[in-house]
Amino acid sequence: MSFLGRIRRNRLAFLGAMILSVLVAFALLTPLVVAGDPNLMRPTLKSLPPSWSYWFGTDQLGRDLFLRVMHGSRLSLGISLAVALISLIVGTTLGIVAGYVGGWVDTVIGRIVDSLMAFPSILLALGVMAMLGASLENVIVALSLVYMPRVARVARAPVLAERKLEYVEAARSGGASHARILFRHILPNVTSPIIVQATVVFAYAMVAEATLGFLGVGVPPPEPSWGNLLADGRRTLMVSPEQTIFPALALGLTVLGINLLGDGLRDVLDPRMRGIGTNPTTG
Amino acid sequence: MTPASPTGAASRADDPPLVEVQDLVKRFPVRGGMLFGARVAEVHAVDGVSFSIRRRETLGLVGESGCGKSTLSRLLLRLIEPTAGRVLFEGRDVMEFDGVALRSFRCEAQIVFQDPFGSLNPRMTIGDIIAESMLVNRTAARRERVERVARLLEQVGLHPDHARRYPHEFSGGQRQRIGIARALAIGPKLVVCDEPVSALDVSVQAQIVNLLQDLQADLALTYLFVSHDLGVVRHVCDRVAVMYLGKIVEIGDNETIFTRPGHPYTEALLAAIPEPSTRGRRGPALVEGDVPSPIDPPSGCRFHTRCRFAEAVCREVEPALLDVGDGHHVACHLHTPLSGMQRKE
Repeated sequence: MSFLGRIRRNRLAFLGAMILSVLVAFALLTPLVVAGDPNLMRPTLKSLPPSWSYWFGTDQLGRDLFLRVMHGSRLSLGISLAVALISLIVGTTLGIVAGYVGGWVDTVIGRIVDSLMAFPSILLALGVMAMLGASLENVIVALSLVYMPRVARVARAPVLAERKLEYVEAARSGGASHARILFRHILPNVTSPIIVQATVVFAYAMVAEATLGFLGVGVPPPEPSWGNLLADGRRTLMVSPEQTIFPALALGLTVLGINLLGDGLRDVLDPRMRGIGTNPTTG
Repeated sequence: MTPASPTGAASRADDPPLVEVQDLVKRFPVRGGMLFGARVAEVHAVDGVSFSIRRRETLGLVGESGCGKSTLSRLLLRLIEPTAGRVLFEGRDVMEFDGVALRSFRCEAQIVFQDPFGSLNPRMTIGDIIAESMLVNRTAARRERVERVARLLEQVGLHPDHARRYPHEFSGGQRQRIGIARALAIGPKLVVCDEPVSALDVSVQAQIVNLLQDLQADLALTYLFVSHDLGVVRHVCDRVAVMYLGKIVEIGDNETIFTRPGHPYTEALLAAIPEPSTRGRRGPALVEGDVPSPIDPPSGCRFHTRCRFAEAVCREVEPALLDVGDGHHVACHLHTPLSGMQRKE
């Protein structure tokens, strides 16, 4: 059965994929379909409740909240995706090389990973942002630094087990290079936990990005990242809670979707599940 | 199973051997400590082993678990580097191979593994697994590889269509056939069989053993047959080497080893072969206790702690592997003039 077919059979993963697809579709299509500047202030239309013309209402500066949430999804999804991909690539490479080579390489990489993980993630991200200064690129750098070690640690452990298996020796005895053994033989056997970890990082990065925005050290305002929207909404939380509820709902739904998809991927990526439903060869 | 020279094709003793092992030593460091793992001890896995493998023969390598059989077979293929000693393959030093020479050596010496589950990459198709060595050594173009995989699968008793399947779709015996096909893919001269049947059911064992013998006859292969199953060894091997704690204690013809063993350890191993009997229990076991730790092996003869003939000299002087006639070598003071001991039976 195809990869997509197997995703579809897993109901929760399918639900997660649907939520994410809808959000991504909105994120991509909004600037094309819905005209309007999310940063345009209309002093006469402050803090309006949801209506047909302003679906989510307006904020206290008279900006269209629906537009801001939709444009914010581009920022939040983009940043988290970038963080997840960078952590995935850098973390996986560091982790599997450490596990395969062992010795002092493993020790050095291991200590770096350990020391980065010793800090609470938001504290570390805050520190890096304070050093680098608030900008979109720096948010990505800071969050990648925070989450890369998690991927590295998850990638290293299964390599330790795999490299002792006889198929690795068989490949060596066949003349395969270390790079070929590591990337062609071992890597495909350790991808499941790494991919699952990357989806977890994706979800965490989204929350962390919002946290940084909320604390005022993320993407600088007036860019409508979800964290910035939550920070703006907080000021009028008692009077017009919808200004907080809509961005929070968007954030919550997205993180839920990612987590559901991640759980489903873990099941689907296991090749031992592939033969189910067909007769195994006997003899 | 009958004790017979299985192929009859093995070359004679005076031809130059395919493989010659000289004083091979492998020690593994045991590390301890917190940060950088200081070396605290050494495991003497293989300790000064010399023997040779003749062309087209099957040399059996037997011994208890942990005696260094697997380490020795991997040293032979240079899958691990020795601490000291040499391995000569067709007269050339395997340890000096690099680049092209190492590649061509890898084409000539292959291995069949014990574990039919761990030895096949679960993410690769059977075809890719078998074709791997042809691909990395560039010995065949794509179309040739596909054809050769199909032919190899037929040769080991599988169907060419199996090339598209994954390892989990096969039984243990079938997987071992796949492992054999992989080893044969680049036309090796030497195949190290590391306990090739000990993970299989008895009925399947016989099939695999027969397959190995047929292939040896067809392809003029030389086998190093590592096993702890003496029944199988007696059936397939021309000569047998017995290992104990990193040393070869006896080496000789199949017939000699099984009917006139020269070393008390070999004798004890033979006595431990289970035999169907209607007359109650056999005599008491000839060895007791466990193998001593290879981290701190006994002085003198390593077997003296468990040997019923052990005398003072055995604790102090290490016996050399000496020829006692007809290429039968034994490392035991019972056979050296030094001790003057006589065997009391």
